[in-house]
Amino acid sequence: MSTAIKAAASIREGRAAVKKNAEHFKADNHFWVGIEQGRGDVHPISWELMGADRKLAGKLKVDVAAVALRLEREAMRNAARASSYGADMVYADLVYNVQQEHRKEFYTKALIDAVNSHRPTILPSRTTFGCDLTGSVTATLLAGSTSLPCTIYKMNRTANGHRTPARDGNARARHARSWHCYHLFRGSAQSRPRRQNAIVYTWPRIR
Amino acid sequence: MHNVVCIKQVPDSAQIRVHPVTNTIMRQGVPTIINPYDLFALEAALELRDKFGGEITVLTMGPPSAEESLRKALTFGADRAVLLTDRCFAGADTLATTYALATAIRKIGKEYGQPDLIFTGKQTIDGDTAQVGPGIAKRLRVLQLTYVAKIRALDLAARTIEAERRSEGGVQVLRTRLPCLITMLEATNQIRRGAMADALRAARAQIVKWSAQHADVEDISKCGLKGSPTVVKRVFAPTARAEKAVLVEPAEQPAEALIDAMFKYQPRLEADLAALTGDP
Repeated sequence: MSTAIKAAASIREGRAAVKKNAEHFKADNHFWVGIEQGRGDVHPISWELMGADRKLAGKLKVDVAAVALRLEREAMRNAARASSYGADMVYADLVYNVQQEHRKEFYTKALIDAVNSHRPTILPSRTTFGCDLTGSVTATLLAGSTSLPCTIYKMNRTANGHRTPARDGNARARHARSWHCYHLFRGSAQSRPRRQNAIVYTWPRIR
Repeated sequence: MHNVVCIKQVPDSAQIRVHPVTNTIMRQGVPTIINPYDLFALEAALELRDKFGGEITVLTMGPPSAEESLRKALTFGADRAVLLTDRCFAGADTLATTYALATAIRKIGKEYGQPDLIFTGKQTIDGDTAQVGPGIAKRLRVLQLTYVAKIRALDLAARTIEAERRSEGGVQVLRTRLPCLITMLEATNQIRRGAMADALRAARAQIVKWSAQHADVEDISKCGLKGSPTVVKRVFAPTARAEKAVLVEPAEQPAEALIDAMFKYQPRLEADLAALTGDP
């Protein structure tokens, strides 16, 4: 088999694998973590969320997908690192658009369409963009969201198949319970990336 | 020009306590204040009224005691106060709150004129969500400018507003059309001292009180605890993160005493710092 044929076969296999993976992610309520941009690169909070989410997903035996939100070209390339932090799949459809950078409607609609088709549990970050997007998306989807910034979150499967999140806030801790299928979290989970010798990032909260 | 400012009555966080047995927040005897973030929004609205005229309606949702906060807002110079109070609003999370407030703002628009700008604080100090503002904007289908640090220009003829927004990457200068919702960032202005005339007016003012029915709430099941997908299950004080606490006796040179105490329990830290600075 020539090199060209081998390469074509490899691409076909790769596409088939991606398609299969996409169908798999549609089938169940998997976790999505928003990968955001900060100062031209992936925002470090995205990796924090990814690490914590991976642990939680492992317990519940579901998979984790990284969703690239408003990333420039360079940051989009770096978003591929999500797999090394524990993502089973990276969605890179929501491409950065400088004209739409501050327009929440653009990203809200895109995210809502994706949520309606894939029914995931989403963990947006506690950034200015994450907060705005969470407010808009929850108001549209009539979804529950935990209020205080999360430092720890847990999730249990109840008898009816829904999941009930619980988390401890950092200022005045509280335990929240939600009955809705879609839970939107904002997290600041202190977690270590899976890479060896990786930096453990602190959470840059905007005040 | 008609501006609506959404405020919230919150317990004074400096004096809040958690019940040692039940682990719930003890609200009895804790003084309440206007959410400090909302005061920046109120002052921004007042500054715009000073410049362009018009009127300001202050809106809050809460128990009948929230009237006190509304009167306080009137003393700062607001023209009208609306209290949304009903038993069915109790226990609302962000989603149910946005529904009730958006419905009330629509009613305010019908009764007192459509609002050009809706102001909220960045977040509240008790909920800390920063989601009610964007949620109201989404429900009212108006544009939103969040984390606004400064309103640079307002053109009523062209119905546009230009504002500075703080984000992680820096400051964005955004221009949008009216009506829109603005969430004001903290430390962007200083709330004024109310005039004596406003204080007297506030003491005598009739607070407009709306129940769910008066506010034209169509679906009660979307309000309060019933309409809240998220409920607070338990409130508890966070556990201390420090493994050990040592009391350092007061000394003439407190800084040196503290450093000595730190090095006593962390000898490795002293060695590392000495190696870093090159001192023996």
